[in-house]
Amino acid sequence: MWQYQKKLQYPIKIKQTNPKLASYIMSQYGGPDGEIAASLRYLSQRYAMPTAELKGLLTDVGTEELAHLEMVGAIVYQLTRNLSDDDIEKAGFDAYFVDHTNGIYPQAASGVPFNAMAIASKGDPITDLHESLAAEQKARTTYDNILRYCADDPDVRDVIRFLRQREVVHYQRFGEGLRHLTDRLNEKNFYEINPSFDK
Amino acid sequence: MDKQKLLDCVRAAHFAMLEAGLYLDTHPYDSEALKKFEVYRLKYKEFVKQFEEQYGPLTLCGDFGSDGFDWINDPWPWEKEAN
Repeated sequence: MWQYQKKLQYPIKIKQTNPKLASYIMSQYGGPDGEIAASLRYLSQRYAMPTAELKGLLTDVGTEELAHLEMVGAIVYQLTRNLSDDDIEKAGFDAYFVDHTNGIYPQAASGVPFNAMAIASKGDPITDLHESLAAEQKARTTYDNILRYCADDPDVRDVIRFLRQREVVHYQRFGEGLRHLTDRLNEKNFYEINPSFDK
Repeated sequence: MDKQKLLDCVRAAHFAMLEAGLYLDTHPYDSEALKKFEVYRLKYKEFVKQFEEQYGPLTLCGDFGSDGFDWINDPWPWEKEAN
């Protein structure tokens, strides 16, 4: 089970509000490569993992992603405080505002609400680890895209860089996880069996 | 105490603490409830300490044994053997 720690993984203190930037960063809350998808992907995939090492890795990364979800929520929250009607309209934040005021809602930058299709869990650890590796790269690219819009806000840029770096570290660990798995399989044909289903 | 029995004690104390905590969220100045919360919290900490000393960590920051990173050891909570 989980227990809440009353702190962010990395501190967030944003001086300047910016609803336009918030509407982009929101994609890492509830978008296709966002942190909800990441956490639920790994925490669902872990059931099919055949070794203690992989069960531990998926649990620990999935747990860290929940902390990142909270951080992205905190960024969006701080970027959308004390807005005037004028700020909202000028930033193009009005459509979101009509639906959610400045509450936090999981959706992509394009406005599409979170879709569980973004979570992939196939019940085959080779397949799932490849999915996880790809997911980390997609999230890294999304953070890179967000960074293009953060040039003049060092408070936001610093946090996004931290989150981006965690994607790189997770990718490295998942790569090690995949190698750990294939080292235990038939080296001439890794795909001979589903290591979770076939004994 | 045997592993499952001790784990049940951890569960019971944690659940009592959590339940009292929920009540306190909406009644933060109820001194009776606060006393109960404190009893459950101390019990929980004590059971966790006993459990981890004998059977390994319950959280990543829990007490580890001397033979390596036993955090990852099987069984994991979703497996029957862990329950």
